[in-house]
Amino acid sequence: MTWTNFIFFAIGSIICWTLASILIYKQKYKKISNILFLLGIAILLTFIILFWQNLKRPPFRTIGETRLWYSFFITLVGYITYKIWKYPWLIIYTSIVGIVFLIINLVKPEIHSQTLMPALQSLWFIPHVTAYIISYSMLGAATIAGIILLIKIENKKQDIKLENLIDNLVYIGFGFLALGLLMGCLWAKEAWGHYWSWDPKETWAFLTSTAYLVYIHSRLHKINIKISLWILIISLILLCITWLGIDYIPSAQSSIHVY
Amino acid sequence: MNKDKRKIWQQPWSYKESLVIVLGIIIVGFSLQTTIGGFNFYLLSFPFNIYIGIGIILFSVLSSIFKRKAFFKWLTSVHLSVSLLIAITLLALIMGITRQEAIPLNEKANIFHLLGFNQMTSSWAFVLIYSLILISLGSIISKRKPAFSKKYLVFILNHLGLWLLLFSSGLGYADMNRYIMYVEVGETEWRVFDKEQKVEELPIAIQLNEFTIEEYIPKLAVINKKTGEVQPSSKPQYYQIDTNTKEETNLFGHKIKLVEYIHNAVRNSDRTFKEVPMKASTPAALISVKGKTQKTEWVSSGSSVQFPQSIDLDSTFALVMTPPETKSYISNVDVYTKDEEHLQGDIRVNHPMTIGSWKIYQYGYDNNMGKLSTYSSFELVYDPWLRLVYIGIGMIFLGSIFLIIFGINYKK
Repeated sequence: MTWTNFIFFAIGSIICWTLASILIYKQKYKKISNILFLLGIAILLTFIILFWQNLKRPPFRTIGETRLWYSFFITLVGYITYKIWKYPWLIIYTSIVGIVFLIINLVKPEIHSQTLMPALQSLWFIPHVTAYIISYSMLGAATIAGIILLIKIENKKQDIKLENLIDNLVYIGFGFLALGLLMGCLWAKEAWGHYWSWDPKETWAFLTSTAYLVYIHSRLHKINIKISLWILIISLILLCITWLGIDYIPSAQSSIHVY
Repeated sequence: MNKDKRKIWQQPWSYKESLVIVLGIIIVGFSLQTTIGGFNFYLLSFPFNIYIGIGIILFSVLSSIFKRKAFFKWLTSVHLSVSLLIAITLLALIMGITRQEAIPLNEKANIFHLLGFNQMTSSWAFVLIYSLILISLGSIISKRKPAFSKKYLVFILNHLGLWLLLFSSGLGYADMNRYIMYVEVGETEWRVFDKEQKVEELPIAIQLNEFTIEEYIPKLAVINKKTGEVQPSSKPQYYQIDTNTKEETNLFGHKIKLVEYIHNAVRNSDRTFKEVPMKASTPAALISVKGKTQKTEWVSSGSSVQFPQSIDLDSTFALVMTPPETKSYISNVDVYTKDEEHLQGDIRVNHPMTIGSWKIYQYGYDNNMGKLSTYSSFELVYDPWLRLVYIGIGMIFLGSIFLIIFGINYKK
């Protein structure tokens, strides 16, 4: 399985998720919608596994490959949280995000070589990247929920259940974020001799984590929730810069993490 | 929100006061920076870091004794925590968008240099906020009553872990030493270069027995013979040689098929290759090309002692092999210390060797010579605080796993 076959799988997943989103609010078709949504995830996972076998190395290296995982995990996380909290919009929003990332990979596929430089050949490689991708999916979903809550508050509606959902997603997402960061430290120590060297990517990872800590601690004393929600949105923007935007920051061109 | 009608600076202090004080500290930091310059971390080297550490711990204990006093209440309040977190986030943000380097020689210092933006971690504002985080966090930890509960367990793992990490990495920085050692194959070396490129002698000697490089199978590409550009120039296309499938592929309008591949090849006198396992060898492939012309010829990327060989496709384009990428480089060494310790083994990237408080890393080799490099270089790192750092990391690691398992429910 190579990148040229991706289009068939991507279209399969996109069709499944689109239909699932259309049907999710129709009581009669709820079950079919669920099955379609899971089928979309399964199709994508099949591609990832076959692609991995063909590459003979884990597909975690290029931005294109991490986008693949992001589509997979955001929909998976969306489904699990939907099952727990029963908000149908979770299916629709995570579908949209998953589809957007698949389309970006179709329009702008990056060159996927099989080689892996020595520094990346490490036991930490897979768990480090996986933890980050899961965390990004959780925090992405939390922000979507945050925006919905903000709109509800503007319309003078309260939703304690949704507040709890957001906090829960942030706690779990932050847990994974911290794991990703710490595994990065341990890996860096083995590969480069120091666990932290304030490389631009590391600086951004640091400030993304502290931004989420601001959110978490701001919720302890229940300040105006609108302020907390805006902190959540800003944190996600910082997170996206860390993940995707570093390549475009002039001061970060010397980073060893630009790829 | 009726109770919020108190005036600013009236106790108990809340967000307003906390933010103003934190901002004040940053301003003090910037003033210090412009008048006396950056903070010198080497002032913190042993034993001064120990004194400061003891001071911070004593202060934290003190604040737990006086926890009912308004000032200590504020010092351990969520309001100050959030304000400090905002401050460190903003300082890191400045750091993330400013180039972190000394002022270039041909440039005059501008306002950002004067404020220390270009070397943020040793700027006074950063150091002061970092220290206040240590003090506040330490006080928060010592104030909290230990309890056998999920809530306390998660709290202590994450907060004490973070405190240990910040404490040992910040105060231990000055005690860490890094050196680079270059060793010729077959030789023993104990002289190193320090951070300032000065030569020093270490209590450690490395004998390099063998240095080997493994390379990946290279790729093929079509280039413009005049410009050397890989085609199509807008979106260069590469074909990864695959010895398993030997499928026919289309590369920039030419059908190419792998007939034979030799990883360690040496050229015969007639543009053909044979397998010779030696360091000066080069990868070579016999390729059949179907396009305007049909031919089956050898292509090779060449090495530092063998010329590359391409296949002419027409008057403008040629098929070439890219230089192979490095898969791994391994130094087989014997390491001796003054305490008569002796270790033998391989050192490669991601697989350092540990001996006492030292770690030895594979650093580099002669890139121009590639497989024929006659030396290997190592980075030797001495960090007596590392164990404390790892304990901190381990605690937060566990704390994060609990956060994932319990979510927000750990509080119940």
